[in-house]
Amino acid sequence: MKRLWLILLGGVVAGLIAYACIYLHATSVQRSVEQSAHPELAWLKTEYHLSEAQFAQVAQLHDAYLPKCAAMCARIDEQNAKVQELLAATNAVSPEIKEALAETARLRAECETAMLQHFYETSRPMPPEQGKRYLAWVQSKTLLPGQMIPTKQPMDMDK
Amino acid sequence: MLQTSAAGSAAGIRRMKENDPAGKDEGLSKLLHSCKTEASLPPRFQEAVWQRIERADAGVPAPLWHRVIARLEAAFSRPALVVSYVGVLLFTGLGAGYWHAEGKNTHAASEWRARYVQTVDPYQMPR
Repeated sequence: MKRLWLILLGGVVAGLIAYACIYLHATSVQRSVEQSAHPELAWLKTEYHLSEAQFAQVAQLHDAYLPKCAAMCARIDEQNAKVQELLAATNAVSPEIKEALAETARLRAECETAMLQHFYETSRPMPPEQGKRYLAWVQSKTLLPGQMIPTKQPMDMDK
Repeated sequence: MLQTSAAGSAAGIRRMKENDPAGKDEGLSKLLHSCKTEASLPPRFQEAVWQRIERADAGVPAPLWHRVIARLEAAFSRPALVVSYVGVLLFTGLGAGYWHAEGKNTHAASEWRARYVQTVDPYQMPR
């Protein structure tokens, strides 16, 4: 009887130990990334095969860009508040509203240009192929988020 | 039934005695008498024995879990089956651990990507 319980429990314990070992081993990279200084950047290193020097450059560019991005955020918030105020005050398209919307569009273009500039700078220290991959990915997530991906077979419009 | 088995045992002992050369039986008896065990019987051992005898006499089958344990004991008396059992649980643990870790890694990777985009795009930055 004792032997039976020993075997049954031994099997379960062996399974649990195997589970814990493989889980801890397979998530070790993820844990080290989470404990790094820039967890939101550290994945770039593994994803785009960056060396320590290349990653340091990318991190430096990122740190330099962050204050600019925060300033742009503040301007966008200010402009959005202005547009909302104007929209709430009237029920017709006034010259002020036209001007505010044009200013919003100009601001967006300015922000997107600065973003694109930062993405190009970030891609330069990367290996060429990886840089291209990075640009394609980051542009699809930021500048072209609503872009439809073309399918191999065109849709049949007659149906 | 008990009488039959007792009579059978007595006949068996008699046959053994007839086969044994004289003198050796006495030596064996002495040896058996000198043997002292310090192990104690499990609690309610006698009661359990009587219950089993009564159940066997009445033709009542043993409870299901008794039969399951008896079957498992019989199965695990074969080393190959013990190794298979432990092996299956070991591989199940490995598979489950790998699958769970993969899911967590994928989730974490997509979270980092989203956080990166939020830090570089002022239009997606959480406010």
